[in-house]
Amino acid sequence: MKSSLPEEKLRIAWFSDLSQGEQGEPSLSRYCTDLLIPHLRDTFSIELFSSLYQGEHLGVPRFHYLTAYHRDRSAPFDLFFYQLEDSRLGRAVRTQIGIMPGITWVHDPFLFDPGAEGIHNSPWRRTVAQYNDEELPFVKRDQPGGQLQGWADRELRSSAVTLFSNNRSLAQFRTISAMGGETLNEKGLAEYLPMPVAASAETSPPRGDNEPLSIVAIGGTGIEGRMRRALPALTRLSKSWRLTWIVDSHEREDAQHLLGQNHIHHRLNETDEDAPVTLLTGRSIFKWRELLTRSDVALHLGKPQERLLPFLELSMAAGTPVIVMKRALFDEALNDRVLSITSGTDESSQCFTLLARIAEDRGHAIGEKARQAIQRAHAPHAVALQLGELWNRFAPIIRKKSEQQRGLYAKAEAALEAEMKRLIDSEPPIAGDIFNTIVSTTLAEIRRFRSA
Amino acid sequence: MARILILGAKVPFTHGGQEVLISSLLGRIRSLGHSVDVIELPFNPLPKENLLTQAAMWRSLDLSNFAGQPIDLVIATKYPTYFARHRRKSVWLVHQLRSLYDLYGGQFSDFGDDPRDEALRRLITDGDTLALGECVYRAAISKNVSERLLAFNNLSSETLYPPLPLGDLYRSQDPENYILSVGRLCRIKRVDLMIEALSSMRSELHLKIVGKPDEPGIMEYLTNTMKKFGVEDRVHFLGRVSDEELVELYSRALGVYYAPFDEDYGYVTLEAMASSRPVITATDSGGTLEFVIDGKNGRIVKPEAAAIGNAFNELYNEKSRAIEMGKNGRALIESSGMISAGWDELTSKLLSPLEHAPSFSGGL
Repeated sequence: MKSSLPEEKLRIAWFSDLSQGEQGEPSLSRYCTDLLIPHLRDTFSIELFSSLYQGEHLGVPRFHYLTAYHRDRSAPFDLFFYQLEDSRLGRAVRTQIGIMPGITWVHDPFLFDPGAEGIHNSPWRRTVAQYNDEELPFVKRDQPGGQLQGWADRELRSSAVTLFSNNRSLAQFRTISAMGGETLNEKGLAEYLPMPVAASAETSPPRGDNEPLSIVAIGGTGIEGRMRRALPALTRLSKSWRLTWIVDSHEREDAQHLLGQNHIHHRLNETDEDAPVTLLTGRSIFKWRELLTRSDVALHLGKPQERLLPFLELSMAAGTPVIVMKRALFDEALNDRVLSITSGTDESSQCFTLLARIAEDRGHAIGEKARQAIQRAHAPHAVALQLGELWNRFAPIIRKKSEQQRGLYAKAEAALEAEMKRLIDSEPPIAGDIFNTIVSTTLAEIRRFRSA
Repeated sequence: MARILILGAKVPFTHGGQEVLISSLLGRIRSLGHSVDVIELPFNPLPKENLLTQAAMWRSLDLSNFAGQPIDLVIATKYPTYFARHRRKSVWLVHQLRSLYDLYGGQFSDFGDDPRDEALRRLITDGDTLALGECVYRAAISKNVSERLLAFNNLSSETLYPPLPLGDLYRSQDPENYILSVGRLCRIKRVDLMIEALSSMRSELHLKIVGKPDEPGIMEYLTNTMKKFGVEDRVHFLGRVSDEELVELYSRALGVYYAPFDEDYGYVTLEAMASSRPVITATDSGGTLEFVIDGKNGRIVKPEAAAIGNAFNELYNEKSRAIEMGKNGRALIESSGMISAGWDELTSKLLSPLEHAPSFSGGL
C-alpha cells in the first residue's frame, strides 16, 4: 500500500516514551525526541505516539499509541520508528515493536526491565517466522515466549531495521545476527546513529591551580562499573581533590561500602554537594550538565550496558576531559579525544597516571578536541539529517513489511473467528447456527462500521 | 411513566462498585415513579476469544418490548452491555474492557503482541466505538473514564459522579490507631503496598481490610506479604461487612488507604471523606485524584510502600492535622452534592432521552 502522500512527505509514526520524572528529568527517548523533532518536522509528516492522550508536542500531533492502527488505517504510515530504552515507562514501545514492524533505534540493547505482562507469553518467534513463511499457523495459546530480559532478542528480531546509539552494541548485534536465527531483519540491516547532544551553553570555566581537582564520575559499583578501580587511584593523588559520584539508588549502600574500603568514607557528606565526596543517586541529564560546569575531569568507566548514554557525549560536548575504558563506545570517542585505560590488573595505576596528568595540565587540549568532535557529529541537526536519510533509504522496506503485517492481521482475525466458533460449538446446546446468527452478524456489523 | 431497563454485566461471586451503582440507580429511578428493572448477563473474561461472543450476545437481545409493552429507554453501564441495541440507549459508563485500553501493555493486562490479541483488540475497540456511538446520551462515572472514552474512541461524554450509596449515614468519631482499606481484593487495588508499608510504621498502628478476594491466589499472596514483612499480628482481614459495620469502621479510622492503579472512580474515597477521614492515595490512582487534594483532605504519594508509610506516620504524629484533613474532605463532599442531592441532576440527565423522539439508527 502506498503512502497517502507518496510524492510529498514521508508519513512517520514516531513511538516514544514522552514521560518526564518528578524533577522534570526526561526519559532518554524523550531527550532524543525533543532534540530531533524540531529538525525533522518540516521535512517529514510526523505523528508522535506515546502513553499520553491526544495533544501536541513540539508542533507535531501526539496520540496514544493504542490509536496508531486507526491513524494508519485512515492514512497509512510510510514507516514506524521506535526508540528502545530499558525502562518501565518504555514498555508500551516494546509491545508495539512486536505489533507494527519498523525501524528501532536502540539505546539499551540489554534489558533489565522484564517488560509488560502481556508479552511474557509473546509468540514473537512464530510471528517473525510467519512474516517469512505465510503458510505457518499460529502457535497454541499461552506457550512460554522465551527470554525477555538481557539481550533484547525479541525487540531486535522483531524490527525490520535497527539503529544503535553506540558502535559496540552495533558490533555485538552483527555478531549475533551472523549466527542466524529467525528475524524480521533478513538482511541484517543495522546502522550507527549518534546520540544527539545540544551545544553546551556552558563549558568548564578555567580553574585556579590551587583549587582541588574536581572529579565527576558516573558508574556502578560492580566489577563492570570499574569505580572500584578508580577509587584507589584517587587516594594516591598528591593534589587535593573532590569527587561527585552518581550511582543508581539501589547501589548507594554498596558505594558507601566501597568508599569505606578505600578509607575515604569520612570525606563523604550526604547533604553537602561541596563536600570532598558526594554521592548522588539517579542519572539526571540536567544534573550531569550542571556538574560538568564545575568539574575538571569526568570518569566514564562502565560498559555500554551500564546505561551510560548520553553522559559521555555530554561530558565531551562540555569540553571536560574524560577518562574511559579503552573500547569504542562510538566513533567520536577515539583516543586523541579521550583518555583511556586498558583492561587489566593495573587499571588503578593507569587511572592514577591520567588523573595526575590532568591535575597538572587540566587536559584543556584534549577536552577541546572532544568538544569539537561532538559538535560535528552529535549536533541535533546533523543527527536529524542522518536519520532522515536513513528513513528515506529504508522506507520501501518498511512499506513492504507493513503490507505483510496487514496480511498477517487479516489472517489473525480469521484464526480468532474460527476459535470463537469452535468455543461455541464445543458447548452444547449452544451450537451450530447460533454462531452464524449472532456472532457473525456482529462481526460483520463491526467490519462494515470500520470500512465506513 | 416510562419503562426503563438498566443493563449490567455480572461477574458471579463478586461484589463491587458496579453492583452498588446499579442498585442505587434502580432505587432512584423507581422513586421517580418509573417502571424500572435490571437485566444482567454473566460476564466471563476468559477465554479471551469469548469476549466478543459475549458482546454479540448482548447485541442479539431484543429489548424493544416485553409482553407487548414497549421499553422506552435502556441504560447501559459497562462492557459489553452497551452492545445492546435499542432505539433509546443511554450509557452511564463505569468502564470499558480495561485490559484492552488503559491497562494494556502493563502488569494488569494479559493482552500482548500475539497478532490474534491485536486483532481482537482492534475488533473490540471498533465495536465499542460503534456501540457507544449509538447512545443518544453518554455519560461516564468520572473524568478519568470520560477522558479514556475520548482518547481511545473519539467519543465525548459528560461526567456524572455517582453519589454516595449510603447517603448521609456516614459519621465521624474520635480516631483510633488503625488504617482502613476497603475494596475487592485483587492486584490492581494494591493492598500489598499497604501491608508492606505497615512494617515501616509505628507498631501501634494496625490495618483493617474490608473486602473479599476477587482473584485466584490473592489471599496466599497477601498472606505471604504479611509474613515477609513480619506484620501478621497487625493486619486484620474482615471480609465483607454490613453497611452499619462499614460506617462504624470508617468513622473511627485514623485514615483510609485507597491507592489502586488508575481507578475508574472509587466510592471508597468519597465514603472516607463523608466520614471525615483523610485519604492516602497514589500519584497514579486515576479517579481518586479527582477528589483528593494533597495536604488538604489527604495525601497523594508515590505508589511505594515507604512513601505510604511516611504519610500514615505523619497522620499518627499529627492527629490534629489528620482531623483537619478529614473535615476538609467532608466539606468537599457536602458542597459537591455527593451525599444525595446529586441524584436529581444525574437521573434527569440519564433519563433525558425520554424527552426526545426515539432514534432508529441504533437498532431495534
